[in-house]
Amino acid sequence: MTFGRILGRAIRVVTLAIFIVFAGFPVYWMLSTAFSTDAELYQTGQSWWPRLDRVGDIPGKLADVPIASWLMNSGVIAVGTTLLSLMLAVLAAYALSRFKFHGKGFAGFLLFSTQMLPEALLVVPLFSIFVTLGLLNSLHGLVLANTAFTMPISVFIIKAAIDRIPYEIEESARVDGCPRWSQLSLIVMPLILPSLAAAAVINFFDGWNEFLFANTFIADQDKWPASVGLVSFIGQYGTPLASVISAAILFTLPALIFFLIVQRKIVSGLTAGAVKG
Amino acid sequence: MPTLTFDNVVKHYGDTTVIHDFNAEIDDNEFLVLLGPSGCGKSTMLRMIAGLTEISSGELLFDGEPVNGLEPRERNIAFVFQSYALYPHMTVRDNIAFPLIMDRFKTWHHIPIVNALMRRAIARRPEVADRVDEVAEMLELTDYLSRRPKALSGGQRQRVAVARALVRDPSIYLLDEPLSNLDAKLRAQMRAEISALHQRVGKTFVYVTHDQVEAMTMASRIIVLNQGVVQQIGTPEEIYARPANTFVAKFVGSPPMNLLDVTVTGGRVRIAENGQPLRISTVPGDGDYVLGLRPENLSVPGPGGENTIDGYVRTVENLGGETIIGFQLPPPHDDGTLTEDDAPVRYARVPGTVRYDIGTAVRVSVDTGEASWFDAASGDRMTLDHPTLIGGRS
Amino acid sequence: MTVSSPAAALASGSSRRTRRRRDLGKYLFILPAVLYLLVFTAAPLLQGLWISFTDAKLINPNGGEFIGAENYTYLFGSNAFWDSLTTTVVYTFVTVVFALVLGTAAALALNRAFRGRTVIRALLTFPYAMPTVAAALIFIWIFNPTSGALNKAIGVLGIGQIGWLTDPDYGLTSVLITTVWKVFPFVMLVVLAALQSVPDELYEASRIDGADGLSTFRAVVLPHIMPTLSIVGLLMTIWSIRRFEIIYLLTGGGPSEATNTLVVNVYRRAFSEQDLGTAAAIGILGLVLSLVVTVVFFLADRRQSRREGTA
Repeated sequence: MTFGRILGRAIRVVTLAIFIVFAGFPVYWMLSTAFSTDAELYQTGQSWWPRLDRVGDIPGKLADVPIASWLMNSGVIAVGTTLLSLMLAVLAAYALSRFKFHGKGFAGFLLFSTQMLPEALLVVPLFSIFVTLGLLNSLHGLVLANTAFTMPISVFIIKAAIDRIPYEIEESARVDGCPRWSQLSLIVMPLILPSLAAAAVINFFDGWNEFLFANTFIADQDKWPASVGLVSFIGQYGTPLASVISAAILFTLPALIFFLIVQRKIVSGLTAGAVKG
Repeated sequence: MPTLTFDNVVKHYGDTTVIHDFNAEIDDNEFLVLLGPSGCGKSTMLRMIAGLTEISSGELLFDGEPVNGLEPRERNIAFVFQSYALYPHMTVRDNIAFPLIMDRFKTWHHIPIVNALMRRAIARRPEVADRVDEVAEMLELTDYLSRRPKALSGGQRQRVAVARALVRDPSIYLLDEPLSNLDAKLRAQMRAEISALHQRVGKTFVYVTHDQVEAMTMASRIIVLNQGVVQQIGTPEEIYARPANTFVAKFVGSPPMNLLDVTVTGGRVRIAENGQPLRISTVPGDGDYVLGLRPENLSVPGPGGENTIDGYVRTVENLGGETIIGFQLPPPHDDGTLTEDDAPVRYARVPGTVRYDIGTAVRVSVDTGEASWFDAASGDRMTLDHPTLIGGRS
Repeated sequence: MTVSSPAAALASGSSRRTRRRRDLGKYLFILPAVLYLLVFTAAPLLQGLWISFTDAKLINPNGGEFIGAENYTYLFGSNAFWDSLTTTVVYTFVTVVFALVLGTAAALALNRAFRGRTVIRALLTFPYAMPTVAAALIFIWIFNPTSGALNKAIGVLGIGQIGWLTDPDYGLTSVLITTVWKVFPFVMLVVLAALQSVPDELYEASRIDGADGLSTFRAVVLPHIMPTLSIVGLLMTIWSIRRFEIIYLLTGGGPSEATNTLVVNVYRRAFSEQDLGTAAAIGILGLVLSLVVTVVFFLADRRQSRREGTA
């Protein structure tokens, strides 16, 4: 083993260790905080080892926080966003991949350019549009708003997947008497399931985590998704921090799990476009 | 049935014309082969017959009825793709059954989820399942019915593609280079099977290929295409013995026909390359021409006689029953190396096994009885209406 | 076009009709998505543009009067606006640089296979996977001046307590730390994928040539991942200009406007100061900034390809 190799490996180990501490500390700290009492947090110092023995206290702590209904709302928004976004995206992706038509370039540009728009700018006009349409203070209104921003990414991923399917298979179906629509649903969609799943997860993720629109458009507390609910604790000390953080952990778990499941697919979908430039 | 008629069919993509004025009449039950090099337009032609590609102008008629606007399904055709285009997520049984299922779909069956369920339901109906079994047995696929395409070999996949074409009993079968993805041995076997299928089914086959062996062995008629222009329409014998131009002459036949630039002066023929004379009884008038001689009309060493060409051996391919000797006219370089790319290689077909060292000087006997004459400028075949006898003038 | 017989005429007529029916079908596929975007993004954008030329207030969003470019001239003359722009540029620049460097370093460290790599890689993506709100909550606690982990740690080292989120000198730094923590895994994942697409032969050839790790990196790896890095850099830049939640939740734009980026500014103007017209104008200017960055990027990219001969 050459010195260079040993050095290289040492550097790599040290680098990874630093990164693990850097990336992992806040996560670990969340655990520690969630299991600490107020006294520990503010006076004696919280334990550096999460007091997992206190797991039994968790339900009690969570009672301070209406986390269940919040998570339910988050779920409804996330699922709704995913369904609507996918429906629109599959159709659009198929059209962009297979059809030639006037305005194709325009449609593509529209989809791409919405990625640049800051939500903060659009919040106000959307607010007034929602007022007009009567969509304020409603979960389905949020679904509509979120979809506009997550749909283009789905189109990108799904279109890349459809592009990889040889067109001859659809032509063969056409010769067999299969009309366009069924070509998409019977032939193409079963073949792009992994990418559909990846797009679904990204959409769910976006809907679950979303804060700005939810904060601006929802007035009723019982309609709050978890993102808004948790933020309401910032700066107020009535509720024990441990409870808030416990709720935050519950909020984080589904997102983490989903992300882990489709990590690889997301990256391949992203780099397909990125590397080609 | 049906008879196929092409009436001034033209195809362009934007400013490029891909198929020029295609005119032909194909009878019932023909095995028509569209033959030509890559990019000549033969696949485009096939797809226009199928209805997958639109015809730019002109008419395509089935039994005298124009079909230009009809969808593939309405034309009652079957199409076997070069890549087979099997449905990867369906079993062999479902692949073969698919056309039958589509036939039985009503409009409302196409709603998502409903369509997947209906597909399965209809596949189980006896009329469909029995027909699939029947066709599978015909093509020896019965053991593979529950497999997916990726678990099949190339030959098996090809047979599934053919089965899917057969199952609806169409009136025209269209095949796009179906054998090009198979190895040589399998290809020979499949050629025979496809020909047998044609006999059994009794319908018109239109077959696209760049392989002239396939064309020669399977076709009842061949249409040779080059760059979108029809070069010749005829039976394999006609195309082989009387090629319509130098392109066809070079394309068909393995090894290809030998083409020599010759000059005729006063009834005498000289090879332009080295001035060697040839004695040919019927010649055209004075001028430059291209003379075509098939390899079987050349022999090495010859029995002597009137016509011999001096040449130098370039390649020797021993095929067992015969040997193909490639030779060139100019001598090799002083140092013994051959003049490489400048000298065209001519081929002689000799029975049995013959051995020569490369560079050996040989005398090639030429039988000019079946020689073909081509115009030097256009490459078109010339019929000698006014032959000149040696010594005379036309 | 040969239309010689009545039958033929009928046939070509029907072909035109079926063709138009087929075209209509195509539009049905793309139309839902396009209409949707037009209604929910293009229309609001145009309306935002309009509002920026009015004096609209939050109470009555549509009731503003047209005042021409008054909002814009006001902004251009306002120090607060230019500060906001500077903050945005600084925030963007530092975020992108650090995210690229850290992400690439992590990707390089993960590039060689070893036991437990999958687990460690998953661990390193946690920051990106975590909802921004949750991340904000825990970082607020970590930055807490009296009981937060950071101040406790530096207290041990003998350094005095820092008001991470309350001291104007440290506000931007804290936000930057949180941002980089949150986004570097994205860079890491993308760069890692690009690194793994470097063909093994290149590494082997380099080793045969006797190159050591650093030169291999510079000669083989870096050029290969350059396109990826530049695209990721562009994405990170645009997203940084857009980024709202982290900053707003941590500092709300303070302390003393230290973290008042353009988008945070927009939100506060609109919802705290109720001044929609100016808010919209700031937002439009932020959008212009994104567009300028994108255009510059594509021009530079095109010039680079031309120089390399790959245009």
